[in-house]
This record gives sequence, C-alpha cells and structure tokens, in this order.
Amino acid sequence: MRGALTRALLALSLLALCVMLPGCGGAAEIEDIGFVLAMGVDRHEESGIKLWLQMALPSSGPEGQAQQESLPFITTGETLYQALMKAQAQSSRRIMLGHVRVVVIGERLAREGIAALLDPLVRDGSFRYRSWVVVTPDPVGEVMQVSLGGQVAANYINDLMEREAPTAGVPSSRFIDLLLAVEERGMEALLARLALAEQEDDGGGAPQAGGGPGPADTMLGGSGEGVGGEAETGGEAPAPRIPVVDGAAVFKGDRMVGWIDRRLSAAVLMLKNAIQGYTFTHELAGEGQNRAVFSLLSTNARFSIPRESLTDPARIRGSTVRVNVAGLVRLRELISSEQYLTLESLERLSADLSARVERDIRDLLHTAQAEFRSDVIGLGERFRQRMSHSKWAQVQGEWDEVFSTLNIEVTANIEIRKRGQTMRSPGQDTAI
Amino acid sequence: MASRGDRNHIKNAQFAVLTAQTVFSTGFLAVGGLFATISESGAWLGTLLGALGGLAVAGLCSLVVQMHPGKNLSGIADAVLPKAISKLVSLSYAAYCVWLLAAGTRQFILAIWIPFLQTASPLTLAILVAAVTLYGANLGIEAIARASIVFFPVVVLSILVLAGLSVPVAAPGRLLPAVGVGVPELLRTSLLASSFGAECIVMMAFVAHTNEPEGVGRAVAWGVLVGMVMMAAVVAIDTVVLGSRAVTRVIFPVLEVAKLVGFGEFLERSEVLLLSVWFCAALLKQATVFHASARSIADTLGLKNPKLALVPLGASLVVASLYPTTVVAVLEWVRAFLRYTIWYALGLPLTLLVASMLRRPERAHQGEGRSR
Repeated sequence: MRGALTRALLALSLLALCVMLPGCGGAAEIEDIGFVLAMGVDRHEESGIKLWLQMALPSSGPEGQAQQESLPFITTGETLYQALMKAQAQSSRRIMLGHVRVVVIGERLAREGIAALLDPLVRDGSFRYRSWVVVTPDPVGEVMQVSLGGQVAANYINDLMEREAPTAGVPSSRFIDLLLAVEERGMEALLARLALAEQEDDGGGAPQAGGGPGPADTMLGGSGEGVGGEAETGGEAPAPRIPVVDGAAVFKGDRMVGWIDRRLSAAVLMLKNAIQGYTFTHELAGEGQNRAVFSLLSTNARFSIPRESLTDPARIRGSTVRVNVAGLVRLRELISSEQYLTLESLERLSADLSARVERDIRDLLHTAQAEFRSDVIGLGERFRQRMSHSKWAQVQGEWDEVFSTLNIEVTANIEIRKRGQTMRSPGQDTAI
Repeated sequence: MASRGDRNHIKNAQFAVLTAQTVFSTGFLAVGGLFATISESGAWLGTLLGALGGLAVAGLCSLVVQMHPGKNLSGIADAVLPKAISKLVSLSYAAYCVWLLAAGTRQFILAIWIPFLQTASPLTLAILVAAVTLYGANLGIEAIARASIVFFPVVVLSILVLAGLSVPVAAPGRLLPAVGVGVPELLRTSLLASSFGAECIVMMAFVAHTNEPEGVGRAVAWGVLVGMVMMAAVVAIDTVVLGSRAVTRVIFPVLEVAKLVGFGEFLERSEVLLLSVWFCAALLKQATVFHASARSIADTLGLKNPKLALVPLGASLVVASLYPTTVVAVLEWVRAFLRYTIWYALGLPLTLLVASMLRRPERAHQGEGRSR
C-alpha cells in the first residue's frame, strides 16, 4: 500500500514535470515581452492597412502606476500581419496579442470589409476572443492616444465597455460576437460605436459624439475619413476629447453598412433578449417639463413565425412574423406632479412606455429592412433553428433579401417593476 | 508487469471509471469540430446516439467474458481459436491499441503545443508523455485504476464547471434543429462517434483482474454511457458557445471555449487549470491503453516477461506520436480511426463469441465421449 502511494506520488511529480519542463528552454523575461493592450486598425491610402499598437510597459513600481505606462507603435502594411511584423521589427520586445483588451476599427476600413483582419487574429494562439471590438467614426490614432485620469486608452475603453455600455444600449461587441456573425448565416454583426466627444464645459450641455448626430437621430453614413479630425475650438487650445460609446455600427457580412443610434441599438438588444439596464428618459404626458428616467432591466421577446413559412421556404417572403416584447423597468427619476400612486395611473404609464418601445422597434425594423437590408436582430437564426436544414438551405444564401420583405408586427408589454426606495418625490404632497 | 498484474484486483466501480476515462479522454478535444462538419447543430445528438455502438461492443464483450470467466482477451482467443488465428487476433488487438495510443498522444501533444507551448520541442513533449505513460503502465492496472478514481471525478467536475462558465456566452438555440443537416448525416455522425464508445474494448485486456467478474459487463456499459454522455455534453458546449458553423473552423473547440469563458476579471486564463486536469486524465488513459498493448504484444510473441515489450513500445510511441506532422493530416488520421475501428471493435468480440458458441457443443460432446 505504502509502495503504491510512493509510486503514485512519483507519477504525480512526473506529471508536474511534464507540464513544466517544456517551458524551461523558451523562458522569456517579462521585460522582453511586448504586451499589446489595444490595437487600432484603419485603411491607409498607400499601404492598405495602418496599425496602431498600445503596448504595456511593465515596471517594478506600484501596480497602478505600472498600468499607466504604455508605448505606442504606428506602422503600415499591405495586410494586418505585415503591419504587425513591421511593429515587431521596431520593437525590442516580442509582441504578444494575448492581452489585447480592445480592437478599434476605423469606419473607412469597416465599410470596405474586415474579414481579412480576422484571419491573423484567429490564427494567433494567444489572442482572446473576449477582446472588445469597436468601430469609430473619428481618427483611430486620436482614439488610441486618449489618456484620462492616468488610464491609457485600452483600459479606459475596456472599463467603458464593461460598465457603461449596457446602460447606453450598446451591443456586447466582443470579438466572438463578430466572429459568430461573420460565420453563421441568418444574423449580422452589430458592433459598438466609439466616438470622441467634447468634455462638458461650465456652460452645460451634454457631451456630443464627434461627427455623430444626437441620440434621438438615426445615424446614416458618416465621415469615413479615418484621418485628420482636429477638434474645432476656435483659436483656443483644443480641449481633450473623451471616448464615449454611443450607438452601433451595422454590418452586412464583413462590411459595415451604416450607423444606428443608441435608441435603435437598444431596440436590437430588446429583440435579442440581451438588454441589461439600458437607461432612457421618457417625456411624460401633461403640461410642463414632466419627465421620468427608466432603466430597462430585462426583456423577453417572443417571435411567432407562421408554420407554413417554416415548411415551405417559398412562402417566407412577405409573410407576417409577430413579436411580443415583455419588459421590466425600474423608475430612476421622476420630475412630475403626477406621482403614479394608483394602479390606474401606473397602467397608463406602462401603456405609454409600451407604445414607446413599440415605436423604437418599428423604427429599427424599418432601418434594418428598408435601408440596410441587414438582419441585425438575428431573425434568420430563429428561422434556421425551427426549419429543417434542407429547407433553410434554400433561403440562407439570400436571407438578407428575404428578411427585408418580411412583415414584422410588434407588440410590447412593459411593466414598471421597481420604483426605488420612495413612494413619491420629496415635496410632492400627493397622498399615498 | 504480468506477475504484478496477476495478483492485482480492481473493483467494478474502478473498472467503470477506467472505461469511461478510456472512452472520453483525448477524443473530446477535437470531436466538436469533426462532427459539426458533418451534421452541424446535430453533432451533439449524433455523439449521444454513438453511445449505442459502444454499448453494443460492451454487450458483446460481456457475453464473451461470461463464457470465459477469469480470462483476458488473449486467454479467450487461445481457448476458442486455432493457435495461429489466436496469435493473429492478439496481434491485431495490439495494433488497434497502438493506433489508439499514437492518435491520442499526437492529438494531445498538438493541443498543448499549438496554443500554449509553441516554442517547446514536440520531441521533448513526446518523450515526456511516453515516459509518464510507460511509468504508469509499469505500475500496473491497479495503480492506474486507483489514480483514475481520483482524477476522473475531477474531470467530470471540470466539464460541469466549463458548462457553468459558458452560460453567459451560450445560446442554447444553436443546438437546433436537433437532427442537424439531416438524418443520414446524423446516423453517420453517430456511427463515427460510436468508435469512441467502442474503445471500451481495451478493457478486454483486464477483465481477469476484476474481483467481481459477474458484474464486469454492467461496469463496462456504465463506463461507455458516462464517457459518451460527457463527450456529447462537450460537443453541445462547443456548439452553444462557438456556433454550429463556426465550431468547424476551430481545431480544438473545447480549448477555445475554455479560453473564452472565465470568472470575469477575477480569474482569467482558467483554461490552463482545465487543461492540466484533462492532461492528467489523458495520461492515465494512455497508460491504460499502453498496458493493454504491452500485454497483448507479450502474449503474441510469447514473452515470459512482458516488461521486455515496454521499452520498444515506448520508443515506437515517441516516433508514432511525432507523425503526421500537420494538423490536417492528424485530423485525417483521426477520421480514418473513427471510420474503421468500430467495425474491428464489433468484429473482435463477435468472432470470439461465435467461436465460443461453436466450441461449446464440441467440448460438451468430447466430455460426453470421455464419460462413456
């Protein structure tokens, strides 16, 4: 028994050696590795691809301080890998993509197609599929230079996407989401839009995305320049612009076809049951500036696809698909004399919110079907799951065109589930 | 080895765990992509149905073992077949085990080498794997069984953890339609998957070591079932995370899933932990198969000391696990293994069963004559 135990221990030691020994020969000091934190890519007139790399500079100082130091690299190449190799030639450190937190793609390149970018990244064994991928209408170089509160662009954008994007109604936008949308039929990619906005001054006013329209507008087109882009501030020194996530870039295949604002982007997430705390302001009926702010906690979209469409692909075009969106909201702020303390008033407000959500979704569907002809809501995937493969194969190649012919009827049922720690606003003497 | 093996006894629970480990370990790494190429979203169901083929092999083995209690494969073959054919059967069994060993080792070396140890020499890895495998085999089946009863539950737990961590990024709808591309493709997938279940035939080398011979068949059947359910679960996880089409692009989908999921920012790169667990289980499987190969070769060549077969077999394992050199060729090799070995795994116990049934009346007749 003792002998067997000794042998088992020996075997375990050998196992450990097996894992550890092969790494001994190729050991590399941390100072010799170039940990890339952020990559920026855009179209370059002469070479084809312009690449920005933000490399971490590990140091022996305090951890927080060490994270703030970074080394920028700017190279060009006919392909992404060529540009990476040029950066490698300029660097004394071995470039490692395993720590890339964010990939920033310029609008111009996104519109021309990004399939060629994906190949070297998926071949790299260390690159993480959890990295964020965002598209910017602003100069990529300017986005990559952002440094706020000592945070480099990579960390700032990473935190922004982790914490702020859900409340802004921005899609998940990780590399895996892009890969899936490019590879799978019946769904198109939707990537977060990252823009540079002027910081608020003493005069007030909301930060406005660089080059982008206001939140309530549908953004179509875009500058597409990807270079230049100095902030216009008159004769004074330009105030540093900050990155904000606002809206999303709509893709068809690997090409970007346009922008949608946060309202429509949130509508996509509602239909995909992926909303997480999207916050919006709602104008209340009545006199004056009555308004309320709500957070959409969750949605449950149920699609009803006609049976005949699933069994006969020829009948999909023009068919009617019904979708019912049930959602729960939380009241965040209420500026109104009406405090909604009765069931009747709450039902009225719920109906009002439901109508608003229905309108948002209809606007999104109109934009996706009529203007972009891109199935960003992944309705094709729902058809694929319910159809036999042979029947789906008949429509999958032209799905975006079929999608644009569908008549999608929307109903919404929004319920106010939470109202915070108070029944009424302070100073409002409405009886409970 | 033989002398230690002869006095070794393993319980049926250990036998079941050894079977499950043999069926599951190594094959699960690439199976998601291989089967999704054939039946896309139906790959998981095809893999699950593949358990039926493995259970058929387990059933046949059980019938043979019941007719020859206390005998291993070579002993049974010697008892029911002419000597030359018996040697041929033992040799073919050894060849099957060596193929299984080489394919498993090569796959696992690539799984470690490509994403994690690109600068390491594959030869070093092959030598280390062969050395540990050889050492494990030398310890005997009892030691392997004892280690497996510790490690395999950890492997089961690791798959459960992987499934749990995948929830935030998983879309269960990707498993639909359950039949995938179509019924013929689903059946083809299940036939190929049954080759993994059929690996339970390796346990025929150890049936004489159980201390509860009457329950061996049930133990092997449970092992096949557990191993194949785990494999189907891995294919399902691959599909819900990576998509039914996108999964076909990845060489080792389960590793890609392990890289993708994590405990948020709390514990990143947890795939190394998972891979370490899987690596240990794979080594134990390889040791089991190596042990079976060595015994079979020794029986075929009539070696009194089976240890003489260990070192040449280990050396040939190192060489075999370095080829084929490309991933495409390795996957082609694995496909060939899946295509053909189910027929061998079904044919071997069936041959022994038929031969046993034919010999029984003959023996009864001889016994009757003697009594007269």
